[in-house]
Amino acid sequence: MRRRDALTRLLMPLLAWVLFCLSSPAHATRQYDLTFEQLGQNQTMRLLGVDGYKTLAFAIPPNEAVQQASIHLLTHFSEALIRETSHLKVYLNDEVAAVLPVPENASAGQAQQYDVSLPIWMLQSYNVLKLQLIGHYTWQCENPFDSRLWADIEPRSRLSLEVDERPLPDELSILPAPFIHPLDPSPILLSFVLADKSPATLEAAGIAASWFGVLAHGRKMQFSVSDGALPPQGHAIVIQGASGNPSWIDQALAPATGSQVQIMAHPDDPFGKVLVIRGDDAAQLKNAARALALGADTLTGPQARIDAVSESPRKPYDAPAWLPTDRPVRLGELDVLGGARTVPGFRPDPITLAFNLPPDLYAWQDRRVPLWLKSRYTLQANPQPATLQVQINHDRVLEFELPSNRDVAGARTRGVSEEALELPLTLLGSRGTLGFLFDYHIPPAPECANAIADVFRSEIDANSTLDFSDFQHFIRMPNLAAFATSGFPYSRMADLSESAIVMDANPENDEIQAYLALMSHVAAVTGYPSSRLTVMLGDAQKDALADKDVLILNAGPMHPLLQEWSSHFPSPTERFRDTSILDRLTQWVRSFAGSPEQSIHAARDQGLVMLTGFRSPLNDQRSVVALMSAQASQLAQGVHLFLDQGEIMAEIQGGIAVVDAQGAHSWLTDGTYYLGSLGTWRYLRWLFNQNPVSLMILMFLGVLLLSTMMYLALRTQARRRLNPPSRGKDGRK
Amino acid sequence: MGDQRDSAAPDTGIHPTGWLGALLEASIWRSRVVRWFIALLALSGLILVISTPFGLLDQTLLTVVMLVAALVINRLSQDRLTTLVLISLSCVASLRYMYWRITSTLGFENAWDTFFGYGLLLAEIYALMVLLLSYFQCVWPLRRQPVLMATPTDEWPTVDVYIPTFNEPLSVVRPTILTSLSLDWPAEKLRIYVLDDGRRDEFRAYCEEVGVGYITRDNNRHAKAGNLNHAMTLTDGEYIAIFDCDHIPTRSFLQISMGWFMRDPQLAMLQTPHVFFSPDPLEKNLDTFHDVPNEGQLFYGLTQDGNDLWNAAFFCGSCAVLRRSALDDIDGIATESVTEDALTALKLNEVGYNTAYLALPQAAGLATENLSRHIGQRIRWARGMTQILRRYNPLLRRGLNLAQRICYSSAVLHFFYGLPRLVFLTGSLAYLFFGARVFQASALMVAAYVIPHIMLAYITNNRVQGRFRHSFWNDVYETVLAWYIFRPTLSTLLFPDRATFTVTAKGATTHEGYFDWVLARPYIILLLLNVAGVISGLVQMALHWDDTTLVLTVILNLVWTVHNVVVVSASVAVAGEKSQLRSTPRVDAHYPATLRLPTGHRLSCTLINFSQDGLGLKTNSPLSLQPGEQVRFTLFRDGIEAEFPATVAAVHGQRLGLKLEHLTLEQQVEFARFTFARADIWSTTWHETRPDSPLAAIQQVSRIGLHGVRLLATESWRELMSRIRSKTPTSAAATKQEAA
Repeated sequence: MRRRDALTRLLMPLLAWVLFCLSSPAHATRQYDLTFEQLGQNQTMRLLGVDGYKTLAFAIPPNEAVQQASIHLLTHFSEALIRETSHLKVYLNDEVAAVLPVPENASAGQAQQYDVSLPIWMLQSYNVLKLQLIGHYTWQCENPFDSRLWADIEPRSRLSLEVDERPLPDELSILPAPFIHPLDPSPILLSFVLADKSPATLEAAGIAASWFGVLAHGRKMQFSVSDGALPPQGHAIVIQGASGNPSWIDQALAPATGSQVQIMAHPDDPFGKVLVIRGDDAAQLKNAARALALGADTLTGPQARIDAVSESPRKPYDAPAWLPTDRPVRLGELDVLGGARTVPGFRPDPITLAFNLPPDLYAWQDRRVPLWLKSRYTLQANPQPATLQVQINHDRVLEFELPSNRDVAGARTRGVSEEALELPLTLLGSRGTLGFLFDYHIPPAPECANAIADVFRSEIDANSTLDFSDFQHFIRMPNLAAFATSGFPYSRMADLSESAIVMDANPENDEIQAYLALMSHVAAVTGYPSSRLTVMLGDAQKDALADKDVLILNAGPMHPLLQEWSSHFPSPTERFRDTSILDRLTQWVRSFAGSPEQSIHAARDQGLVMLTGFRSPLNDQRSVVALMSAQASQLAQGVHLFLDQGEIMAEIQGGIAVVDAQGAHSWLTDGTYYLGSLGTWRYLRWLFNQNPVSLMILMFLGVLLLSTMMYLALRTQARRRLNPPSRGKDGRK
Repeated sequence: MGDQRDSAAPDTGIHPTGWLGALLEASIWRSRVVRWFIALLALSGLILVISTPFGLLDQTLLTVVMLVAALVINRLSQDRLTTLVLISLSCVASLRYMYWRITSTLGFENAWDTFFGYGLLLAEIYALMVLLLSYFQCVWPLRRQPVLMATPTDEWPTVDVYIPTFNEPLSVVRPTILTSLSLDWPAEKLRIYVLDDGRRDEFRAYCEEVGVGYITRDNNRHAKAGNLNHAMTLTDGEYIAIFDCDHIPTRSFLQISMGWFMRDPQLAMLQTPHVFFSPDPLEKNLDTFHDVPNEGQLFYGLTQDGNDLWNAAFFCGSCAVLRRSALDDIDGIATESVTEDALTALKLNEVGYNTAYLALPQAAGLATENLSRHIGQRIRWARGMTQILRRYNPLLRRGLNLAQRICYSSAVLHFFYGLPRLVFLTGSLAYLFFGARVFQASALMVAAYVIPHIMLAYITNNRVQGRFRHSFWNDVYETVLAWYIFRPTLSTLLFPDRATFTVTAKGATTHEGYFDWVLARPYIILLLLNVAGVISGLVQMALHWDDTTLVLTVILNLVWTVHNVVVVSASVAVAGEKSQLRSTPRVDAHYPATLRLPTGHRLSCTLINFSQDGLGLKTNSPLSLQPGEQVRFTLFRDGIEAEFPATVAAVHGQRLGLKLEHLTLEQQVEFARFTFARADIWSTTWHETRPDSPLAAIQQVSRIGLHGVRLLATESWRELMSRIRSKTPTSAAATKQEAA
């Protein structure tokens, strides 16, 4: 879906590009070699039945003319297929591009390889490759659902393209191209050129990096930072504040004032583009960056002057990528992975929806998330009902039988089911997928029975809802897992308006690179650029930090703020996993030997980067996460390591974590605190649940007081009953 | 209320003394604001306690702490404050269980589980409600003491004594009439009427002979209530004392009960307990007479006394005094329910009159003599109370205060135990037979929550009602009636008009012991089902010994099922009817007497039992008397003595059985005055049963259960033999005939 969006963004300036091409003779040849997996097909493509098919989509940028296209298929066939009548059809954009014969001796172990060159004239900017098995196992009449009718295509199969690349025009509307290329599977490389290292410049760079993070959609990103000098070739992003003009830029840019976003050719590389974000002062510079991040769609021409950027203030937890927790969410609002909410076939692939959740949703007492699921499916005469399996992260969590209700609005053979289900929140986690697998039980039909065609269609209604509104935000801190995976607590405000990033007084380029990587990561999680982040360098004014969640990046000598706060550092209490006694012992010794600073250094120097989280000494509702390395290069390396490698990211937990090249080690710590609120009553119950002895004291106290009050009331009542007012007394009263 | 502390009627019961007592008298407690504030604070704390869920470990800890605390608190003191603490603690445990039960155990996965699970839940909710309501009712038994008549006798009001009868034989009614004649009340202010709805000449003649009023009417409309109302149109006493024809009053009845009417001008009804000098069928068949409190003892010993605190004591049809002017205000005895008595009290309370209960037995009667009549009587009560629920719903009627509503609702709700009890008796089978998971929770978790709920209720009830009902006996009493009571209550609930009134005939003799197969049928089915459940559970355990979860669940269900087996087999024992030797049951006594032999010798002896036509004496040494010899004996009371002639019926060493024959009317009255009408005769022996001990009760119920199983086995064998014997020639012929 998103890829298509990106593509339409590329199509818009098509006209401009055509004009530009006519006037520009330069071109270069590029080669792409993409596995199906890189194109989004994670699983084996299973083609079933007499005419089962699967599709795969890919896009070609407008400035690239395909010279040669081919696919390399790794295929397995059922041994039962009859060679004369069975074959594999390759469609490109719904036209037959090739017909591949089933091999003589299909053997299960060895993949059958095909090299098929695709007719380049059939290629469009958005292409659908369809692979269909025409399969038969007998000359007589046959069962179209027979289990012998199958062919598998491995995800290692490849698409190869050779393209003729032409330079792009200096046109802002082509963004995020050329920085993000739809076909290029390699990490997105962003080269930042900073005119100076003032907080404003860093903030502007962070905003720009976060914007790319939003658009990268989980692709890996690499950052390089240089002060002043443009990289010799390739694309670059220049952040140009008031001071420190690189000499080349004066010549390249028209003298201008105010906020500006401009795109221009690399002076030394005809294919390189330079995106310039500039402003005369800190405010203007940030404005320009925010204009890019929030309004890139509206920028046209080679140069845009920014007057003002309007942005409505964000609310906590309103990140676009996070499911809303204040109302039921329609499943239609969730991204569908690899296809649509409707799947064909009698043995369909699961319909997979991706979701992100705030990491601090609290599921006390194993509360479950209501899922109201409406689905449509094909009804069979078969008495055995179809079932629908609900999966979380590809694991089955529940399964139910689909009733034989007819969909009133639909055809006679369409069934509809509305089911109220409950999912365990703990299984959902903060990000993952929700899968719906329809399972039709096709009875073994006698051969030559009236064969029905495979008309099966299964659908999850977009109006099905998932409801998190009964869950509170409440989380035990420090929680480095929430930081690593979701950028929590900074991501609570998607624009990072309540966060401050504190770096060394004169940060090295590698340190800035780590900073940009973190900003793009947080934005990728929230789906929103960090448009209101604050950067502070060196010995920051602490007043400004009092109402912020603080993220400290520190390489080399300990940051003055960390020195001051070192007494607040948590000490490890328990290490996650593979705990050897020796290990823990050393850790304990280290944390107590010498000054806290020394022990922190010792722990830090064990790996590339040490992460630690603690409650802000300035505000008990705020948190601090510090990333510390002995050298800036280690910081950058360590941050990239855990951002790029999911396994390492998953190992970061607790209050202290050390990342080294092999992985991460985490410790639970003291200094536990809780963020968020359960509401008074639930919080009280939670509190007493945590302290059973207090509950008992409360119980006896309550019983004693209540009984005493009852005693007094009942004694009065008994006295009243035993001494009824006589009539005379009545009058007196 | 402080000014009334020194007045004539102090609150009885044990109260905290010492510093705690002083603290409770502090003046700060006079402020309602302070009291309410603290109570609400405590209440919200307890709601927090009830609604805070725990894991297994913490809950187990809490269970242990609660149990130990309850046991310790129970021993701490016998005062009322401690009782209240225990009741509150039990409420917390039970409500905590129910909160957890509703919020955490109901995620059923299939229709069967849902059906059984919700069924059990509803039964549990019912049981919890009854528990809480009974706590409310019994929280502070008022223990009203008699007030003596203070005014000179010529200012005493006039009293009509009504003795309604329908089909009881004269022999049953006679002692009641005779003792009524000896009531201590100015003769000119006391009128006794026999209200004979049977219109029998025998009765009319007898009444004329002894000189009491005889009233009949030409129809039987509204049965007993109609009978009473009809009599009210013909008499004019200011007060009406009502005795069922088989309830024999003591002579002090009016002296003791009338005082409160003088003291409280708004008092409309004063009820005294019903006690029985013959064993009811359960006592007779289980041999627990004078050993285990019978079914009625809880009601008359505790519930009514507790209701009295809330001004909700109700009229029980007999052994009560009513104020005529108050009855006139509600158009006489109510006729809209077959339990006209309870409804009458409800109506009196509604218009603002007070009702009272005096826990001092001043009359005694005959219990129902066999199981089927016992059941019939309870069905009638259940129907009547259900009719009240439909027609005079105490929750909706105007004029009652909240406490009265609760007490009356509790009384009504009590009779709906039939279906819930059957659910409890079969609930464990859903799992043992069908594997239905009625609890969506682990067995250990269920145990951790349910143990304080049940155990604290046992401990508290043992303290509150131990003198009036023994542990586990409630289960037996309810199980005996459950099957029979649930259908009439249900049908009456739906169709309140279909209930018909049936009079319980009393005084018949069960000459021979027999086993009531028809009545026992539901118990036998329940017993077989539960035994099968136990076997099924044991087999499952043996087959899946290594599956800990399953074994624990089975054990939990087995404990439950074994309890059911014990209780149901005890019910089977009830169906084994024992013979009743005498047509007029004897009352045990211990009074001095003298015996004059035909030789003229006088010797002192002890009266050990008596009935209206016979008595037992115990002499100091064996006598050589022959049956048929004529003797005379003398009885004493308050320094007066009287001599009566008698015939020797039996001699067993020191024990002598005498038959009373040929007594003149005066002698009969005099004999009644010296025996049945003695002021202290019933009150000294009331509640003289063994004190409750849960362990002893378990043993006793189990022993009775064992007896029930043995009885069932022998009776089945006998039945089988007799069938085989009778079948051999004749039945073959009979079948042939039928075939033809």
